[in-house]
Amino acid sequence: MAVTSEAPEVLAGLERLFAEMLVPTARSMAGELEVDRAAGQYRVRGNATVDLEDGSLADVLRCLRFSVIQILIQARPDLLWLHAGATALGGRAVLLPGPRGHGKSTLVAGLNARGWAYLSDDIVPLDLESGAIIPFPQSPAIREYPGEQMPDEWLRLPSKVDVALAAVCREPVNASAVVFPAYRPGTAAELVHCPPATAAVELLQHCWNFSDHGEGAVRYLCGLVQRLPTFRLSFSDGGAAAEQVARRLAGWRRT
Amino acid sequence: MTGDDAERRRVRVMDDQPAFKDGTRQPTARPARRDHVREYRLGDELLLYVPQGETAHALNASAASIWELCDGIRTVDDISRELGQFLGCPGEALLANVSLAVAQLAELGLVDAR
Repeated sequence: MAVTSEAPEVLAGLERLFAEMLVPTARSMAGELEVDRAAGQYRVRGNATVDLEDGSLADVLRCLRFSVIQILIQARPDLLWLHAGATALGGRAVLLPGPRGHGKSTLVAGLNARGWAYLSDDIVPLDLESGAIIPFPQSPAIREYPGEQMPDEWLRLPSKVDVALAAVCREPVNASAVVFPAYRPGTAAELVHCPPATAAVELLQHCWNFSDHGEGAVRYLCGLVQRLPTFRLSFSDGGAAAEQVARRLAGWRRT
Repeated sequence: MTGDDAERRRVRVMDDQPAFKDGTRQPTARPARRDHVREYRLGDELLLYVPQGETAHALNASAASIWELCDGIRTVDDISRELGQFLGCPGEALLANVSLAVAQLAELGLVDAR
């Protein structure tokens, strides 16, 4: 995937978004995007349809991030792409599926601060052959909106704060647990068992490319929830939530 | 079925719903599982997948038991009685909930009422 631009601020922004995923030159290319600027507004051309809202730098970076991910998903339809975070410890990964605003990034950042290696905070490619999660270490960012339910318009804003990473996982890792996070203002962190059929349906809801796999995805995810422990995690404090998960899965460090 | 846009409903036996016009809440209805629905057993639960609509539904243990008895031969009354025998309670005590569950399964297009 190549993005070219004569606007240094665009390239700098992209480098910040995908800092852990950059290579100087690619052996093969999934797609190309070109960004130019005219009359104070940016324009994107290339392998994806990019609909800018206001043509500002924040807008173009948001659209570029989405387009890059879209092109990569199209380039690897053999993978099952999930809307999820993931983090690993001792060669095992926990999968954190959830819609935006549910605390995936917050939880991943909290676990990363506790020694877990970062795989992704939003996009997880799953290799259905090996069962491994492939790292997608886009730069994590969290919303800072403490103590209240985040309104929908807040979720749409590019108002995230970058998180410094302690460790990044660069090798595929098998998933060993699934946790569905749910940010709920004013609640103490609580991790409870999630019934397998419910877990499977929720995982299906978070497939970006279900149509590439159809019933194969259903079969695979049903198998996954039978093999792995599945939990729901409600929380308002990301640190306490990460602590709960780390404590529950503490045995992993010894293996 | 992609990301945030997809919304899938799950059957819950105890939900309160209005009566349905198709008769599935009648004790004499003979609900039948629809052929195109694929079943995946997950412990005592079931995941039902409908390929045409790309929809998936999770049934808890109670709903799964009802689903399995929807063979087009048993009436809703029969299903309640059989479940009652299994649970050690009178079938009449379960009839309202079984009727409701069958109605919900029908509303989701998972069973036919006959």
